[in-house]
Amino acid sequence: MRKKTSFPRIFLSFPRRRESEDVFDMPVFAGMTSRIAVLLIFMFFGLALVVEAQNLTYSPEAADLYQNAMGALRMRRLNLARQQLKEVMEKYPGDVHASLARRQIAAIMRDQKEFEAAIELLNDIIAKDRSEDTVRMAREELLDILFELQRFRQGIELIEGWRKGKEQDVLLGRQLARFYLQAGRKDEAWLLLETFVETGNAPDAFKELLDLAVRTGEVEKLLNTLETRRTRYRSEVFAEYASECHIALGRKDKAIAAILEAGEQLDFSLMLLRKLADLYTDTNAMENAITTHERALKILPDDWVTLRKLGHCRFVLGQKKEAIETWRRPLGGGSMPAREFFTEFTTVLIEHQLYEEALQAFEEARRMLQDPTLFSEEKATVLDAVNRPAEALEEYLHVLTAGIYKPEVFDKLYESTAPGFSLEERLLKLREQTQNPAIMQALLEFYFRRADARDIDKIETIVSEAVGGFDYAFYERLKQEALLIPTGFHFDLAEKVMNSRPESTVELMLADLLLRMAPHEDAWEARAYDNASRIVKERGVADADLKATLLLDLAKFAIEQRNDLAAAHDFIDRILQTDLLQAVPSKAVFAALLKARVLVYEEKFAAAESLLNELGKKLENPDFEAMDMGAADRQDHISLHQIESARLAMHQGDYQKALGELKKIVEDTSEGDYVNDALEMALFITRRSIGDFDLLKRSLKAERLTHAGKLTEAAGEISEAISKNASATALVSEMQADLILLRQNASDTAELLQEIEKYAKDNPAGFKTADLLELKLRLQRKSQVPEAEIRESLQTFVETFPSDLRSGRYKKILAAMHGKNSKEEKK
Amino acid sequence: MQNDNRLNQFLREFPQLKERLQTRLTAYRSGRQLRVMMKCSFWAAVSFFIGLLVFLLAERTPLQSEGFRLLASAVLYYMLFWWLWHALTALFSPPSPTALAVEIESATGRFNTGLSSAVEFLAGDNAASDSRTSETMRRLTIAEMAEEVSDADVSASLKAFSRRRSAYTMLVFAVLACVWYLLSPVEVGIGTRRLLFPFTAIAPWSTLSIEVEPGHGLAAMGESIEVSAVPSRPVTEPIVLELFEPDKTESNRVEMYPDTTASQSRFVYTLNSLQASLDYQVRCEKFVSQRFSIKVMPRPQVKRLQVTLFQPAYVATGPVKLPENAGDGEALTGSRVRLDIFADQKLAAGGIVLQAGATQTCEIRNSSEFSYEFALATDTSYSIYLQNEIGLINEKPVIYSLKARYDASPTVELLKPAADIPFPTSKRLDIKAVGRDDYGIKAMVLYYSVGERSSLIPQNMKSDFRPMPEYEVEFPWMLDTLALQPGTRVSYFVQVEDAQQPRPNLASTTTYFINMPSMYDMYRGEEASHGEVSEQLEKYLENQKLRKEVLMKAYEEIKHEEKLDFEAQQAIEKALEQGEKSAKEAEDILENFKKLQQNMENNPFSSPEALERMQKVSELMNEVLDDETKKMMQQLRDSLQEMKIDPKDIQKYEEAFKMEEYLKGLDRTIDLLEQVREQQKFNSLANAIEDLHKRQEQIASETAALNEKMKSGELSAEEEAQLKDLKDQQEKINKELEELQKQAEEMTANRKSEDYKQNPVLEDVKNIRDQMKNDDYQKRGEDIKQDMAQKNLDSAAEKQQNMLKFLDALKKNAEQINQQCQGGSGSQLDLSAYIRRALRVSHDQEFLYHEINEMPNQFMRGQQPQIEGVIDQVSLLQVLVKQQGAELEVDLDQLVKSSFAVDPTAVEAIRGSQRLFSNIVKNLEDRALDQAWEDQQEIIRSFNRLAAELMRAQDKSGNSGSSSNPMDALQQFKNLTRRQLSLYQQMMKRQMSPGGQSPEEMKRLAMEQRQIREALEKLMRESRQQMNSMGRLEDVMKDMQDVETQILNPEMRQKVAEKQKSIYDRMLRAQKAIKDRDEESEERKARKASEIIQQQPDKPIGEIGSDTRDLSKDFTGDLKEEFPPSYKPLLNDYYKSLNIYGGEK
Repeated sequence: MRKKTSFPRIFLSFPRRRESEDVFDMPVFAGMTSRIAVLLIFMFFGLALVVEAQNLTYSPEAADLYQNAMGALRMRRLNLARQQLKEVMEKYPGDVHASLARRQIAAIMRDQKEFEAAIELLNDIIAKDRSEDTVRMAREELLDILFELQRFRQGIELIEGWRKGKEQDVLLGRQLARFYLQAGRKDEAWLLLETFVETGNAPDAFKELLDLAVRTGEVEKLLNTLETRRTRYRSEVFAEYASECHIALGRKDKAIAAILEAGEQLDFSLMLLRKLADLYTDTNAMENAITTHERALKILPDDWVTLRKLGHCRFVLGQKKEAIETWRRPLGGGSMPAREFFTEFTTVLIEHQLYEEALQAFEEARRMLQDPTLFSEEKATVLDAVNRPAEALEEYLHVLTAGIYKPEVFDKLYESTAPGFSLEERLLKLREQTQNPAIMQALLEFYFRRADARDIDKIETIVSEAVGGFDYAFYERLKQEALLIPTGFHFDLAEKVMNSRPESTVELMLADLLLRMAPHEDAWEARAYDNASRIVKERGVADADLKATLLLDLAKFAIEQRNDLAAAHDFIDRILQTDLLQAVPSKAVFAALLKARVLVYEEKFAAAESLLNELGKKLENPDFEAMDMGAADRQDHISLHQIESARLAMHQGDYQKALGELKKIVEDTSEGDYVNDALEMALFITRRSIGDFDLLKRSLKAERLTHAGKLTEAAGEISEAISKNASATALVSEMQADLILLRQNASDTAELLQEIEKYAKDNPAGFKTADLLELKLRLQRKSQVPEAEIRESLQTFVETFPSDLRSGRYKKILAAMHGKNSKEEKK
Repeated sequence: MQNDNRLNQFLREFPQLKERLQTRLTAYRSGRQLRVMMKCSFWAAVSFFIGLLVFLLAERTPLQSEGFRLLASAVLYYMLFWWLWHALTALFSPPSPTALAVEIESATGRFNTGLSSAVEFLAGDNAASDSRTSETMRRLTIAEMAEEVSDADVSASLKAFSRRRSAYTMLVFAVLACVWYLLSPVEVGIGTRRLLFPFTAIAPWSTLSIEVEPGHGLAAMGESIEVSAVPSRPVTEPIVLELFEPDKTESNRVEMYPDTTASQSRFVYTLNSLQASLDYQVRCEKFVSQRFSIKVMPRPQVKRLQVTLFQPAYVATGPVKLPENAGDGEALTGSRVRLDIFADQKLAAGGIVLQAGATQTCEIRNSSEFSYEFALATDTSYSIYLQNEIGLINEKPVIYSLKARYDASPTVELLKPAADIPFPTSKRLDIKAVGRDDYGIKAMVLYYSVGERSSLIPQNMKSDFRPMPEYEVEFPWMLDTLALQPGTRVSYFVQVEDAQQPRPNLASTTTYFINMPSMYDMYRGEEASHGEVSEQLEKYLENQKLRKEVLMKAYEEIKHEEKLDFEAQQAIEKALEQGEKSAKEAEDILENFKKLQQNMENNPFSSPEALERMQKVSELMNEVLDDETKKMMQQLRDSLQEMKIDPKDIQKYEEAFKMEEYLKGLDRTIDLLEQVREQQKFNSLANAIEDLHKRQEQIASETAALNEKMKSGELSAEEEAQLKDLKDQQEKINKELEELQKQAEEMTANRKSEDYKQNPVLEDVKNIRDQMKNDDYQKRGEDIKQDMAQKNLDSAAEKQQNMLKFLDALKKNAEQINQQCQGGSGSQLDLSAYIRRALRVSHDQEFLYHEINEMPNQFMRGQQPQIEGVIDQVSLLQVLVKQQGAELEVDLDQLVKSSFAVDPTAVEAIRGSQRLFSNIVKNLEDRALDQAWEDQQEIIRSFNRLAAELMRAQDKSGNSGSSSNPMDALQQFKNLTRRQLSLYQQMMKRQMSPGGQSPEEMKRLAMEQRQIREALEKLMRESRQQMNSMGRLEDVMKDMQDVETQILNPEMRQKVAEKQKSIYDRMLRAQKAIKDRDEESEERKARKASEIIQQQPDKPIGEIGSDTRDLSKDFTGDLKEEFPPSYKPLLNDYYKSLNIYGGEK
């Protein structure tokens, strides 16, 4: 059983409510801190000592490699991590990281369900590793595996072997007991734990024994055993154990009696006194509890935990005044009370619903600590609770003034309906007084929430005036909207800010964001595209990486949204044929691969093939230093290269080769970023592999034509394919949907809408139906149909595809519409 | 002068004088020796007596101790030695003559120093005879002294050594000792011995004496002996018994306890179950008894008993030896019985004690064995009597009894088929019968008769007349010699006789029938069981669902109330109970299903596709029903146990408790089973119609033949019976047609137009239905029957022709159905929608990932207000993606459930993705972006994997029909297996059809077999690597080659069919092997160790091994590996070949 770790309060910057089981005491802190410091020093030198003691070496290269592997492991790239860890082991066998790597490999094996291998490896580590620490952890890991696999017998044999000569090892003993228990050898487990309890120094063993007794319903037996060997224990230890047993049996009265038997020893045991006091409190013997708490205070005067409980007892007895006095006791001491005391003090007051007193305490704290905004948030909540909203709002504003921006606080302010309170005004006023970022953030948030086109300039001013200080916050805030459902306000705002900050990082980021928002509204597409192309063409480089990303996104946008392959080439070449190639080599690889894709769409297969071949060679022997990237990046490059090779092969008609390439991705890099893409492509091929592959060929042709902007020809190909393969029903219906999608920019909206409706009726839950319904919505908006209709479409979508990500957005739109309607109704 | 004379005389007589002096001295010396000796002896005696008396006195005082004894002894011996020394010194080393002379001088006081001088001179070589004294002087001195010394002097001198005093002293003490001796002779005796032998263990004299019983003794091993001690007077100390191992001095002491029952003072101690010889003595106060020894010997025992029965010749050819040491037995009256007894030690005597009373002593051979023989006239009991050389006899001998038996009647039982059965498709009926008789079955005969005919045809089922106590035989009864038509039946029974002479006892089974069924009958039976299985399954599923609901409810309650109240507990316990019940149910279902599967395999109606699907269903069933239920029971029980206490953990238990998936599995099984059933229905309808047509043709031609005969004369009895058979057959055809119409109506009832579009076969069925509706075939059939009954064969023939025309029309539609069923294995599966949906999820997820992947890893909520809006949006959209994923998962589950084409493991890829989705949303809310990324990546990965899996499945389903795309080897092999099965089915159909087979057809089949073989060879060549794990298929190919030629031989057709089946089975098995290998690594799971229970033998030891049970059952029962039921005969053959199989071998 792991002990709950409690962190010393002084390390936390935020005041926090005390938890009832919290056993930390203020005066102990000093000692604790120094102890922790010592511990840290020990840990720091620990590794060095280990290295020294075992004649291990320490090489920075191994450390790098190991760290890389651990990074990959965190990204769940198990195979990659395993491979790199193996490399550590092989290249630096004597290094300290080699032994760490072995352990990690065992963990990976376990994750990959290669239990046998993991067990073997761990056994090897245990047998050979000279570091006790490693061995111990390996043992624990091994035992965990065995436990998980329910191989209790093997586990027992192992532990029994390890225990030879180390019978006093409590940890091993407890592990053994755990295994015994699972293997149905309850009595042996009992005996083992009992031995540990009796030989002393193992309170955890007692806990486990008690646990076991509780589970088997033999607490009485345990109690008897304790009783018969009473002389072996010190009286307070016996009292502790016996009371635990009684508590487990639910007999608090007996537990109290058992503790009282410790007699005078009780006055030296804080834990027992606390326990006794708690028991008294539980049995409602408040008077006794109070005396007991007083006794405890003799050991540790001004101990807050005790004081709090003592006060609580008094409070329960109706002695409100005495209770408050009790809690205030630390104030009477010589030293200056800390902020933490007031946190505790006010918390306990609020807990006991002594709001007025709490408010007084807040004031007192502000006076004493000479900080007029202290505890604003807490005070505001209390004020809210006693129904003094106006004062509460002021206090909330204090929070902002104190430089802390909290969404909850802002929410309170924003949602406040207090008469005569204008948040904007107050914020602007405050902004004049202090250049506080929290105020700025609040103001920004205010405008974002209001989403009024008139505020765009104000926001722009805020962001510009901050001279980059607010870029990140602004961008993230905007991204948050873009992620769901951006409105014209957001688009305009982004555009405005972008234009106002030329040659800055935020400009590039916003340009990218505009591209992301573009598909939501037809009108935005051109604007976003033009803006972005303008930026990448005209300006210098603020951030090479961002610029390369933007160029890549632009190229993709050109291919997918605009079907403009020439433009795509242009954007890609801006990476490959400028200085960017040197600056962002990793992105350049992606660009080159995208170029290959464009070439395929252009049916320039030879060119694509030579490009891919060249790239392939380069990827085989990468210059990591020059490319400044990790192994995971390289894996992605290779996967993407394979995908593009597969695409090439597919479009060339060599389906077997394409599938082979894709299979490589799935099998070799089963955890990379491109596995799902590879699988999708493979599915595309296999599903359409009917008869003489005519369907597949035509589908691919249609794809190429689509991307080349020849939509009519593409539609023709698809229609042809449909007519020739009437039997493949599911596939054909999907292709029909594709046909409709191809015509999305057609002028005859009404007809299109009809077709969509018909299709949706025939294939209510079809795979492509969601796309079509989305198109329907766009068309409806474009043709400005009544809102009720749009709402109905949205509703249909949400109901048909409740788990589609788009449903998340639409639900929000629906909610907004609903809100708007109700507001209007109110008006 | 006178003096001178004297001197001269002296000188003259010197030699004589010298002689005299010497004589005198010698006499003195001898006397002295004697006297000193005597004196010393007396004093020694005195010392002894004094010592003794003192010792005896001391022994009576508290001084008495071993120390004192030693001291006294030492003093005594010192004294004795002292006196002895003196005596010996006086004897062997008397004083020198000079010293003697001095003694005499001092005793007499007369000679001054003259005598001593004279003696000195006499010696001559002494110091006194130096040159200072002249020779003459010396001589004179000597002579003078010789003159002077008289005998009186000598005797006076000797008096100095008085003997009298010592003698008297000795006498006084001797008298004292004697008196003491007279008063207490034992005391003096013991005292003397103790004093004289201080180191010998002699107890001091005491007033106490103890009588010890039994003294030296002999005991049988394991017996007890009581040692008793009777003291002469009351004792102050306890009486101690000392026990020694023989020849050892260390002892164990035990206190004896008073015998309260005895009239006098008596102490006893019982030595219990003695195992080895021992010595003992008794000790009390000063008293110590003599050391007695008890010798322990084992009693004689029967080491081996061998009973040999010499039964009458017809029962057994040789003597029957009962198992060693078995003395009880049964034998036919009049049998001779011989008992051979071997004892475990040398015997003095031995014999048999016959009950009641008579003892037959036998002659001992080889000192430890003897034999006894007698004739068994009636039930006899006996025991064995043994006596060993020391006289111990065996105790409580076992009483054996031999039962005298009279020969009883045999029994016979038909084990297989033991029921009325339809005519087997293989045209061979494996009859398994077992006959039992106490003394042996001699013959077993199968009697059968065909149709109405009364004559019984015998068929011997036992090759020789050797009597066997149990005769079990599996007899392949070849029915292909009987020309039968649907509607006729064969009756049969089995009879056995035993070996009793002169007249054997008989027994026979009841009569069973073989019904010649039509194709349709066969299908109906199967269809019924098929329906039953799916019904059972459905019911089972329903039950499980209910159970789940109950549990869930209980769980919920617990979750809310945080404790297990009585009701919830009851609910759970009930659910548990039900679980146990349903586990049993599941076993039943499985059993039924296996039967169904076997039936289907043997049924020519089953299309290969259906069979293959059945195989799949079977795998599923096994998965779902067998271990799974048990595991779930366990889980339930565990969770109940664990739950009792910690309601917080319930979440965990719910996760562990995978009822949901289990139910899904069940659902899928049912759906698939239904699908198989559906297809089979169509197939069988078509086949039944074709079959009907063929049969009607046959009847028509036979009727025509009979008509011819009738025209030329009267029909014979045989022909009459044939005509009756034909009538029955015609009736059957009518009935079947009726049924078929009903079935066609059923199939087309409640169908929507969409169904027709999806399944073109339905259209044909509808046509059949309409045709049947429009035609009054019932009446026509009835007419034919009547005509035949009235022997109006002309009219019958005519109507039969009309009937044939009608059937012809039906057959055309049926052929179409068949073509469609076999050609297109269902409509082509289109998974693309699912694939695309999976990819959609992956794409959408990727989009969301890219939206947030450049943000900071982790921060506190509210810390970065500028980007948190975006995160919130993403989190919102993430919920939609989650929904997509969930919908897809549900739809896929549905698909997997109802289609064979998609492997359920494909869906595994996205198992648990919902949890990941939830984690993502949670992490996004917590702003733990790095964790969210990780999970998002995992989602992308898993949905990609799903898409890939689905594409693979799509590929497979597309490929199975055509061969344009390269298939993997396994797929090819599967196809070949299917072709082989199809070939076997065709072969069976040919056999079933009454008309037999034309050579052209056979040739076609042979060609097909050849093609399959060649394809298999090619496959093995081309993909050796993939296929090498299939095991050796060379023998399969060799069998195929054999079949190619044997097909053409009508004699061999039975064998060919069997071989084809075996080939198919092996191919299936190979296929399974590959699959298993692939799955092995995943499937290995630990199992809890189960307690091994020692099996108690169900019979007394003696009988085990002597029975002739079917060992194959035991073996196959324990086989770890599962094998198709169709393997059973093969395995049985195998066991037979191993000769461990009871029966005729």
